[in-house]
Amino acid sequence: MKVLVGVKRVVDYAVKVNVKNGSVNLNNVKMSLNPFCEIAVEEACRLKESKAAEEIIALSIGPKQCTETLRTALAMGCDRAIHISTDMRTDYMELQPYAIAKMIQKIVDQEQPDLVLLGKQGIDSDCGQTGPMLAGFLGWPQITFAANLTANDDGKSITVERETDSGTETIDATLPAVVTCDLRLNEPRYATLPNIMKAKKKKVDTINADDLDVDLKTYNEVVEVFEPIGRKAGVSVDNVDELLDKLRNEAGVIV
Amino acid sequence: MAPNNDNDDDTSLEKYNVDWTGHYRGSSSIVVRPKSTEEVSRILSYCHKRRIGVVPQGGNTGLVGGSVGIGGEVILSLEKMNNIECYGKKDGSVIRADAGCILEELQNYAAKNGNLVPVDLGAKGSCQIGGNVSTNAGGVYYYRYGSLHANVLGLEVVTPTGDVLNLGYDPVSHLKDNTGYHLKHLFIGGEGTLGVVTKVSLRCPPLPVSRGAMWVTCASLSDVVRVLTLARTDHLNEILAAFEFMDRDVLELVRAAYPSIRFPLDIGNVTPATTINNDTIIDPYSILIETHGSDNNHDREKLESFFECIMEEGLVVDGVMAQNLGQIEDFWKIRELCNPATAAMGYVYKYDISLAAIDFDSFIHDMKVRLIDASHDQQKAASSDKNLICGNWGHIIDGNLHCNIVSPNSFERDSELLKIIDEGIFEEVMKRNGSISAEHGLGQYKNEYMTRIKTPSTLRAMYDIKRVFDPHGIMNPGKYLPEPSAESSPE
Repeated sequence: MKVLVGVKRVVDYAVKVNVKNGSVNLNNVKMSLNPFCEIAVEEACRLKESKAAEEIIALSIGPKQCTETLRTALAMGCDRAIHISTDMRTDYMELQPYAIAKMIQKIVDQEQPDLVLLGKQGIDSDCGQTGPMLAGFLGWPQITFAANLTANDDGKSITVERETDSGTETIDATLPAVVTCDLRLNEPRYATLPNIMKAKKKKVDTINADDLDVDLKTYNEVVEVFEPIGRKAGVSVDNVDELLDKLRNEAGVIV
Repeated sequence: MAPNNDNDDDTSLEKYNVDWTGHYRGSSSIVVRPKSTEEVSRILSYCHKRRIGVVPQGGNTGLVGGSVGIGGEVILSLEKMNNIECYGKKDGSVIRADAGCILEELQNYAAKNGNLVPVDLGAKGSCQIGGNVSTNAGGVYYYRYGSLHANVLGLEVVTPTGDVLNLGYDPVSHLKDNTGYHLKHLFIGGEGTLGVVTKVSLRCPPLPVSRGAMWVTCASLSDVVRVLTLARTDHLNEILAAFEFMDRDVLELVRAAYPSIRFPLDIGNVTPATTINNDTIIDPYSILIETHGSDNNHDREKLESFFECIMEEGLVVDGVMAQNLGQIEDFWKIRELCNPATAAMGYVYKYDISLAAIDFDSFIHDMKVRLIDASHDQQKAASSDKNLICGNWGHIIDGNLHCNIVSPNSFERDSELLKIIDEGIFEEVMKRNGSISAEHGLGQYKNEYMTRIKTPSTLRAMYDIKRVFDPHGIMNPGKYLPEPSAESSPE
């Protein structure tokens, strides 16, 4: 099978972000591969190692630095990469899931993969909409929040366990299909240095987003972005009476 | 003076009487936890007048028994003095804090202001800045940011007579001040033998915008040294922040003590021939390199071209490069587990020595030969099975080797064995013109070596200084300086 895997470039999850001019400040901030996309890349690599997949194509949408993020995916084991180049922000401020899914659809039309693996959400926008929208546009089965994925021997279907609030669902789906990956699906490998070197020689095709004939308009307006209000430090009270007094008169939670 | 005038938490004396290693135990019956310099001053002058021994205590994470009593001294814990004041909010380049601030809290506070506390070590979650200063703690970024002698701008200390000395602490420390004797340096690394450090003012560089890391493995220590040389000079140079090495013996201990820890080279692209039970065989030497810079792309390119070079020269077996900040922390996690892993597996004979990096290999080899001989003798004597494990790691870039000899599954100190190993280490270090304590200090473990490593006149000068500040010898008695011998003691 041929696998297309989504690779989003986001602010590194260990970075404490700050807000500047009404959006998250991205200036000189460490950017990394979205952790859920990393899991998708790992799963694709395992499919290839188990001979279930023949080719893995990594796809990223964003500024030119996305090629670095794609290099990580290539170093982990993807075969080649496609970069849809745009200077629009991809953290919901400008490009939004609808346009992203439309662009991925174009690549799917062009590459004809059997399986599209995406992260369940980007840790910047936390939308979780791209996978379902893409499946909708394509008219393919969608399995979200995958926690286990097996490629069946018939080569035409997959069995996926997905995590829900009420337990684990096991779903059989025929290919082609869209799967979004959850945290427990796997533990991604490190990129080894020899593979990072080899990745430099792998092909990255760049396509200008404007050339895809997709409506990139920002339909949902972001009204405000602000930092969470810091939690106030706690205080020690000397006795129960003081506690009751504070609960009654300061916090107003009891009468 | 009430020994304990607050009722908030655990007042059991156990945690104050036993240090982190569990090797050293005092029998103090009084712990005082002052909340201000004024209280420290009153406590010290009281003890001075009555000639009561005092042990200043921080996070109790030292490795040479410096922070617990040798008898029934009063323990003066700084844990209640933990305010942080940041100065220069715009540049935040100077941080002032009470001695009892936990290092990690100070680091987090500085990071919020865009700054880096120039000292970092495995015990950061419990050690205190006052203890760091008093022991002149080194740590993993020593090479890049320098020692505490370089980074402490000022101190407030209380001497045994109760005098409060303002050694460039107040007002806000100047970055440069070249007036008078630089007394603060006597208290940095003075191990609480001259007084108590109550406040610290530190120079903090800006937080690096770009952090990178790689983990590479080598087949021999001479390859490690060549990798180090190339990193330091031609390739990483100005962005190099840390260069740590770990040998296979210690990483095997980490794996045994923490089976769920994933090693960087365990997963992915492992050829079947090099795995046993799905675990990679650990290569003989692992290196953790961290870079600090201001441009992620620039640093990444440097790391990659560096790796290309050491790969082409055949110096490394394999390697991985962190792709995000979380992976950098994962690498450090393994490095920081070296110390607890040895402690988890048995009694640890701990050594912290300074040598030229090129001498590490022969030193470790010669120590292992000695250990085989010692085990052999021990077996004859006690007919017990003792396979001592010699695990090594450290800041090889500073020539700092942590040599740890573990007796697996035996948690009791073997005094005979200790003597043999101590002497072996001493001889091997002296042979190579090294230091028997690179960063851990002397405490009650290594003070007696002083007569063998310092000249009589140097030692006399040290006793003289001790007498000026602490005429009754109440501060951390029985540690740091050896018991004066006839010729070195005051007339």
